[in-house]
Amino acid sequence: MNETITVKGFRQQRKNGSNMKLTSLPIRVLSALLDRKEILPSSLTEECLEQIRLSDPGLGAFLTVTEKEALSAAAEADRRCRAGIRLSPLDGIPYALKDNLATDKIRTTAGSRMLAEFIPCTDAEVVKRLKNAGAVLLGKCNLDEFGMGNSTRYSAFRATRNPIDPAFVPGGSSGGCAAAVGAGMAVFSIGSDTGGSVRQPAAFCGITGFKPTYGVIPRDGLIAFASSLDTVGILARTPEDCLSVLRVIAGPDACDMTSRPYLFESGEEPKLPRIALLSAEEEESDTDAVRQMTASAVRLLQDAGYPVRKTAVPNLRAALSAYYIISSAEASSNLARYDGIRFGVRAHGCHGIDALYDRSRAEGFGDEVKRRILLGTHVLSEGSRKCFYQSACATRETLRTAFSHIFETAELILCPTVPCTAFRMEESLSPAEAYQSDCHTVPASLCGLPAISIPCGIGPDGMPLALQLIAKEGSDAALCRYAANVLRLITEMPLSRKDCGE
Amino acid sequence: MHGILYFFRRHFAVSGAQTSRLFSTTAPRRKYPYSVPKGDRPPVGGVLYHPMNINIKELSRLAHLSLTEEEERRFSEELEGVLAFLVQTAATTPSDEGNPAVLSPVHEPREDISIPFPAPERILALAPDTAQGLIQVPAVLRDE
Repeated sequence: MNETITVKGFRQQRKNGSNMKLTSLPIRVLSALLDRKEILPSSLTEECLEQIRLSDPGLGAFLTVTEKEALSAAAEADRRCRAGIRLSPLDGIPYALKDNLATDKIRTTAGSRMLAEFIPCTDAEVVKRLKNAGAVLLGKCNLDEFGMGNSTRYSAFRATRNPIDPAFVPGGSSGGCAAAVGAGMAVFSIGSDTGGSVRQPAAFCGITGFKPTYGVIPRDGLIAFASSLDTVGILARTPEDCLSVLRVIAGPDACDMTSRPYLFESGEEPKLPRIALLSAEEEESDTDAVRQMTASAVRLLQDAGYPVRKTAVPNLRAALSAYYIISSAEASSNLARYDGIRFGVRAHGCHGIDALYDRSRAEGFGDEVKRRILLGTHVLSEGSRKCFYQSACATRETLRTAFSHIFETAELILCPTVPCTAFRMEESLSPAEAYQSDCHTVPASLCGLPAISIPCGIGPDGMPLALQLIAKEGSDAALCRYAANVLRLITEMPLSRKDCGE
Repeated sequence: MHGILYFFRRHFAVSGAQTSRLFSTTAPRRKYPYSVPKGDRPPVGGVLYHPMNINIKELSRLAHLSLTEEEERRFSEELEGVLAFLVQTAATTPSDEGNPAVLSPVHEPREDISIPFPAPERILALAPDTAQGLIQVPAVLRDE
């Protein structure tokens, strides 16, 4: 892990002739090196583009690489760097963007045939903020169509592969973003998390994935999936990097009614936060490796002095169903806008407006999106609404109350990020089976809480395992700092293979 | 007339689905695909309708998706599998109306003002079919 690398260490390694990758350095160190003009933004960007040329044909992480724009943005950053007027700690740092965030004059597909030729007229708010901070956009990353899926195999264009072992999926829906950071093609990437779409791929690719409190990062320009759950998230190598990016992109935006002001330094934080270990029926679906990893990590934390106690949330299992009901219901309404009239695919040779709608949508959407639209339509229809949608909303409220009770006596909630390691590319799961692997990530989404996934050991199949930490609403920065400490602990005392189910 | 109604439904209703009933008179009442304790079963709204039944033709009409026969069969099978798994949620008795908002809003609503976009031709360029600076669509109103 690169947590301990310092500017000094980097100089030493360079002197020794080691060709250490710049992208493996923490943003804090890169920024310090840029400040001292020891490296230049263009060399950093070129290293990333070189890595993309090398790895991306095999991995398929990018849908669009904006090489020309990236190089000219880096050249401008070079000038600022030389003049000693860097705009922010992210000035000159190259990043990748999930293709459901709008970019002015750059194709934005959301992984769908429906938007295959869609070229937005404005930038998303996060893109504007990153541009103003001087960050360099490398390209747009692959995703499951409209963010619906957890393997990046539901993209209309291509499947993305896991950078640790290409025989495995990278997770999803921000699979392209996770693969890009995992393979050193970008320093960080911006994804979106509706039910775990940032945390789950980060877990599968062995990196850090951060989902903020609902509303902390503005969503103007994010192609909507489920509006009461959608958040913009950050994928990076470490929680510290996530915090560096969060500082630049968090804060209210007049164009997003759900955005909220964010205070970074919120009073004192205990050095050793109280941790509540979430134990529930959820564990049933965990593989042995995941269960052992969690137990070993808890032991490690206790040895380091963290007060850890078990806690249970009644009916946590219902969260998964509530998530799929609410998200599909909202998706069926949100995706009604793709009707072949103002933009997107329009079917040819249709008689009448209804046939045009029906056939354009049938041609433009993939199977998973159709399933969710049909499911959403079903759970909202009269007769089903009470049974499904309303009870899902009630479950969500119960869950929120239960979580706020936990936070009366603890600062952090701990659980695995995913019940298993990455699955193989060819492994086919029924929709209901695939949905169950989101069981650990959806509760934080339903409650709008900040959550972070950090790598924690390697499973028997050689694929990474991950822990999830959840904090209370608004404690985003504290969560990143706590996660950095926990990750440092895990890195210093790595879990043995025996600790991870071998 | 249909066009006007349709416009209304698309632009003012939350979802087309909510405006229509989903009675399925022909489909037989199905058993739960796996055992759910009796007390935990969702309330069933009458004999004609059962929330576990998928009426795929009606759903595809409401969702504006034309499906082939093969797709109809496949999707209803898959959706029944998904519903069987979702029915667990019904363990919570629904309150009058659950609150769909996750966190209370903190923003004051801003004024609803229109700001002209500097390059309307770029928006027009996204439309699949245009004529004389307008988006062209098939006839909505017809002589019956």
